[in-house]
Amino acid sequence: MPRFASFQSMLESVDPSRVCLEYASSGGKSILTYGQVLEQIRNYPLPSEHSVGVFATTTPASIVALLALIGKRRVVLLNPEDNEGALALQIASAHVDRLLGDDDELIASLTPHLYHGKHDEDNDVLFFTSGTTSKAKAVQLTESSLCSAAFNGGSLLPLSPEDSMLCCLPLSHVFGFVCSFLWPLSFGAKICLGRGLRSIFFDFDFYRPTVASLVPQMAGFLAAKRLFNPELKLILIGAGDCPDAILSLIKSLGIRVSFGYGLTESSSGIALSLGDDPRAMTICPDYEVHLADDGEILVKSETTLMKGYYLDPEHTRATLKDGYLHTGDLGKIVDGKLFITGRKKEILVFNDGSKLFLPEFEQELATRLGPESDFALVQRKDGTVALYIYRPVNVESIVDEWNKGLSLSHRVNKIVYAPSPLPRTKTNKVQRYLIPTIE
Amino acid sequence: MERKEIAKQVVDLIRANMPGFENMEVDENSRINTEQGFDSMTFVYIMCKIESMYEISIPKRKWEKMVTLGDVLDAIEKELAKK
Repeated sequence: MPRFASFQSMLESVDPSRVCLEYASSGGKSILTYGQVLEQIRNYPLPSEHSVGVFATTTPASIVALLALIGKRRVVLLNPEDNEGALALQIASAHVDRLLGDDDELIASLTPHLYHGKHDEDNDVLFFTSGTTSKAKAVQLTESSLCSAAFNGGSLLPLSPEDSMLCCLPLSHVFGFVCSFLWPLSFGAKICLGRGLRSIFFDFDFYRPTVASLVPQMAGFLAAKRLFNPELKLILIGAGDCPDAILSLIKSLGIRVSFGYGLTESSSGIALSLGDDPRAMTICPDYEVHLADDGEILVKSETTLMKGYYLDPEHTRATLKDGYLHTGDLGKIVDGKLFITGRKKEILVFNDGSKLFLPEFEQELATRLGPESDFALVQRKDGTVALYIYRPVNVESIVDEWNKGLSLSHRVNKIVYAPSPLPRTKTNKVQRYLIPTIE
Repeated sequence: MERKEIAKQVVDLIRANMPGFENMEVDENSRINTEQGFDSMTFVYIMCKIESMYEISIPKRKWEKMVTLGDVLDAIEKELAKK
């Protein structure tokens, strides 16, 4: 498989008459060939501003903007589905000085948060780590690291130019960008642009794709509702684990399932499962993987690791040590295959692919529950969030208010009153492992 | 259309589309969260069905403010009033 250094060289390697993008238009479908996309990129008017926030949606205009700008400006990928407060934080923390997108109202309301100072002259690509956090972390990747991520995944899981990928994940997340867009692009395949959240249930029937990259929750729901098309032969599942029942259901439909393991900090895929066991993952060619004494997965790669967290040297130093990315995930290696066994960091991972950084999230909730509050947020057996609280009591209405504005996955859906103060270390840190499992 | 009638139609729709809800008590105070079997995909699916049934479009930004079934009914009534 060829290794590309830029998106443009990726596009130039494909027969220009082949279909690159297929999208919904006036009730039907329209296409842009690889040649047409290339021409639009070459003629794209570059903005005078240096740090451009792009609302990365699955529309031809957004795709062309991303392909044209990445490598020539600093590009910050934003999700218009995020709430405005989170977007304002992201724009301010990434020093965005220009916004591009098709929602004029949203852009107008966020314009006051634009940056007007000086910039470093890098052309990095900034992805925010998924999840709700008061301190949004922008991960600095590059066009080259993203191309290498596509190479790594494609080397293990090649596609054919005859394949068509349903691109329905948010492109502002690195899994969506690399695995539902760059991966098919690097093989000259057709990319069918999902019509948005409301249409996800009908997009498989509409486009008849052969491949799709999905988060576990999406895959499970679509399989249960029998919404996959018969031509679909491969699903790549990433950004979280998937219950065995869902895997069996998808396999019973005659669809191959591959799991991907990767982080925003590694430009996506570190390992992929290729065989019958979807949890036995083959390590991608550019990676060295080691396990620390406590089982944490440490990875090294010359091509794909982040430069760091934008303007956050402290977190960068804590995560990138001696050239190794400390993933915070626990794993084991058996017969050369990597298995993920758990999480080391205080992070909850949900089956919709999102994450919660617990200490920061709990700090926000503490401002509502009061300074004397004694509680912890914990993940229930079914993966949802429970509040384990000693004091105050009768917090139902506070929690209802708190839940407003949170995605359903992150909402507290069970409150358990603790019989005694929460177990803590001498430094007042909650000993989460001593909290009883909540059904 | 009266709120009571909308409530019945929405509850019927949930019961028809959500296995496990056939015999469950659902009313305006029912919380829309995973405790009730509504994960975010299920919620989106039900909201799409509601929009299609009433031929309305509830702005996505309002979806995330909804905590109870009553909040969903408020949004439907508001959009129906605009028609």
